[in-house]
Amino acid sequence: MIKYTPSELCLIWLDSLTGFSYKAKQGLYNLLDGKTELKKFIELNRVSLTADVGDKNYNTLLQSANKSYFAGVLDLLNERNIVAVTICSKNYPKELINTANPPLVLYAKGNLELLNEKAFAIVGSRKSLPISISTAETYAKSLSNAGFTLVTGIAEGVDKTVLETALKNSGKVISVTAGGFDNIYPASHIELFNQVAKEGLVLSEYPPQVKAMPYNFPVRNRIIAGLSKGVLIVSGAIKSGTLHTAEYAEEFGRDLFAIPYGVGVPSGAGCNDLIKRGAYLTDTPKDILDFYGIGETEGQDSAKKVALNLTDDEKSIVSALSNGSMHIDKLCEVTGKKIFEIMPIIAVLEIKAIVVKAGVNVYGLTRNDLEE
Amino acid sequence: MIAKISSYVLHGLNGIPIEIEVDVNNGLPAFDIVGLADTAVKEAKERVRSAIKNSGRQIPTRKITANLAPADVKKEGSLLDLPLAIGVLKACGGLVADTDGIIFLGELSLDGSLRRINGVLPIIISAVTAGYTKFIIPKGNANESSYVAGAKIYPAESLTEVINHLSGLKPIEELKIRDYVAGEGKNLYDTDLSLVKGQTVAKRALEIAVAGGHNLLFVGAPGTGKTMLAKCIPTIMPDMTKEEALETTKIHSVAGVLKDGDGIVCTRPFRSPHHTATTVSLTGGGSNVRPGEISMAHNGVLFMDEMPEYSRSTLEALRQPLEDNVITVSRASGNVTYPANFILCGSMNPCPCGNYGSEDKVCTCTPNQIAKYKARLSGPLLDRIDIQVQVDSVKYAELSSNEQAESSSTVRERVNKARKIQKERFKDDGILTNGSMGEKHIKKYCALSKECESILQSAYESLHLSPRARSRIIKVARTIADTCESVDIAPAHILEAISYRSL
Repeated sequence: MIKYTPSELCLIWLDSLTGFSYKAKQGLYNLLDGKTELKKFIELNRVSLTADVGDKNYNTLLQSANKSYFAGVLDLLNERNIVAVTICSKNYPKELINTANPPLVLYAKGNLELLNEKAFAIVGSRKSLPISISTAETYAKSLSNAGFTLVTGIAEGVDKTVLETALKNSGKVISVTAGGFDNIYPASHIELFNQVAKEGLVLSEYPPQVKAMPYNFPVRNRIIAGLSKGVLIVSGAIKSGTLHTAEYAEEFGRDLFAIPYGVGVPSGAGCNDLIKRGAYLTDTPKDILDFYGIGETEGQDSAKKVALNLTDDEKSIVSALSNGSMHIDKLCEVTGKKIFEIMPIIAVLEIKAIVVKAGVNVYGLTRNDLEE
Repeated sequence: MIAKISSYVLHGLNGIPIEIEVDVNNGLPAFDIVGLADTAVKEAKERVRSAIKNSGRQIPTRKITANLAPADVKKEGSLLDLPLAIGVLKACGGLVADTDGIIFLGELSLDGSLRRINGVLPIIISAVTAGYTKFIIPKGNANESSYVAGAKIYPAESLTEVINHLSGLKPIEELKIRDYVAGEGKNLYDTDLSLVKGQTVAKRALEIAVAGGHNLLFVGAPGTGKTMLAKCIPTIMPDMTKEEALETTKIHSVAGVLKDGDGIVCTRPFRSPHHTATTVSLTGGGSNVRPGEISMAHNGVLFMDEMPEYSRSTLEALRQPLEDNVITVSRASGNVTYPANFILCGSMNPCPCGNYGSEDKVCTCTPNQIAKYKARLSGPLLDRIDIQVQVDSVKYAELSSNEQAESSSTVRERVNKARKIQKERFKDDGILTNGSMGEKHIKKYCALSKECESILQSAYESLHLSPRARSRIIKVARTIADTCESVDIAPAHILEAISYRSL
């Protein structure tokens, strides 16, 4: 069982109360920290406290300032093996503490050492095209292998892919949820959540019982951006939650990377917009590794084109797709092959993870480092 | 004098012989029908009375009793009007003629003319098998009946014609029995594969589905041509054999969907019940048991547009007929088995708004909504749909291009070849197509080379296939091999089969 310092306990206590704003909690913490006779202090300062937080909240404070309430709050955490990392804790993430409005308490489950590792966030929309998912996988694998702790949410699509890829490669990974740990959204990802809690780290700024409300998600995104040195936006429409993360990254001075998309692809328009506004364009993980001055640990010299022992048929398709994704009808036309000849070849390339669906019956390459 | 007249009633797709006995007694004038008759039969007395009067004959003002034997079989429908009228005339001496061995069928109108009835074809087929040869039927049913070899059929327009025929005054000309010519109705399809622009993947999938009798599902946004593609399925199916045509016509005859001029159904049926259809309308049933849509699609196509919109119980009711190719409807009145061997073609949107997965359109559904929408088709049902393809919207340039696509007849030739190979292969197994193969047949006929096994293995891992997808892929690969007239399943066949999975 974790032994919390009095300051930490004070923060955990404050954070467990409902109805207080972030500012109010901060103010109360500065006021109440180090007071031994908490209840007495609150009773004595009734007038000034009521003026600060209002009648209702004052009553909440008064009623909860007792031993049994404290014990209840701690039991709730201990039962679930949740560790509260407060802003005055030693292991509170250094990157996060320097941002605006850092969470007063981070509820954590898993490997706490990841809190102060070199972290990189990969985020994207929930309904990404298969090609974006494949991109997320490639980046997650490279960055994970290069030693980054990957940070993301726990939604469908890109988040899920990043988590799964990192877990598969035994990489370090943090998932930040938008509600308390008793209310994982989407509920279907509870299995994934448990796995991340076991092999990586899950974080939330909310006590376990808090529900993931829609307005919590953009707020959560500030933690994702705050934890990380850099943020990669894999996909996102112009108006999407993903772009909140990008805005926070800009605000916090993080390195912002975005994957470029073609004209008229709605699910990538947000990324293109970010690039227009100055985000780094990246189309291979090497861009990011070079940016941070690290070579890929696999020792691959990525500048060199990779030869993959493709057959002539496969090469013809790869070269046809090298100028961008293409509809299968067009592909038949370009390569001069019949549909039943082309489908097996595409299936092989799909299995080899060189080609992926980029839309309905549209195929694209997953990598751009293939030898011609 | 008691008059005895032979007739038939329907039970399911078979006829049951009925003997009608009519007696005229002294007593208060009355007309009683006994022998488990339903309302339509009971009402016959009014029609018979008027029809006889309006045909210029007298109906005796005495007590008339008609008995329908056997008394324990329920008699339904209006087809007993004619035999009752003839029986009454004979019993009162208004007609002297030999009616032994003649089957009378027909509904009377008040003016004495004969109306078309449902189910004449199955009755004639049953009766011919039972040894009857002579039939007097309404003229409106002449066309559908003209394909039964060994039957002497006399189509009559009115009661007067029948009386004149029987008494020898003016015999009715015997109906000429026609030979069934396969493909007679080929031009009746109002669509052709060559009219479908683009959609190469979907068209290829269509060909394979028909060649191997696989069920298929089109996934695509609204207005991408899923229905048009489905309507092309009958045009590339092999021509109906005489047996198939008769069987389908029997069902349509019983269901009453044959139109007046229709002879035999020689085009593959294409049934597309609306998604509000009830389970009974699909499987068959009702108080007077009648075949449902799946039986009317027998030997043809059942197209279910917007498949997830059907009610869950309706969809699940399809599982047994998809497996056994027949549907057994059990009601208090007894069990009826209707054939239901059809290709199921479903269509659905990728998500409630229809744009999910598209490169250039925005999907406004939440991931949860999409998952829920897809989950409306249950796993066991999807297991029975071997081919699932995505259909996308065709670009305007393709729509307006004049390039001629392959016509249905070209594709049909390839389909015929593949079907022939399968017929030969399964001659001892009691199935006709690869689509009906069970695990036993897969083991027997779909030996995979090491290379194919390793492809399946790697696909299984990298494409996250489910175990049940495996046998689907092998079955489809078998059909693809058949269309290429290849004895063994080659890696290319497996690979192509892998690409027909989208759910």
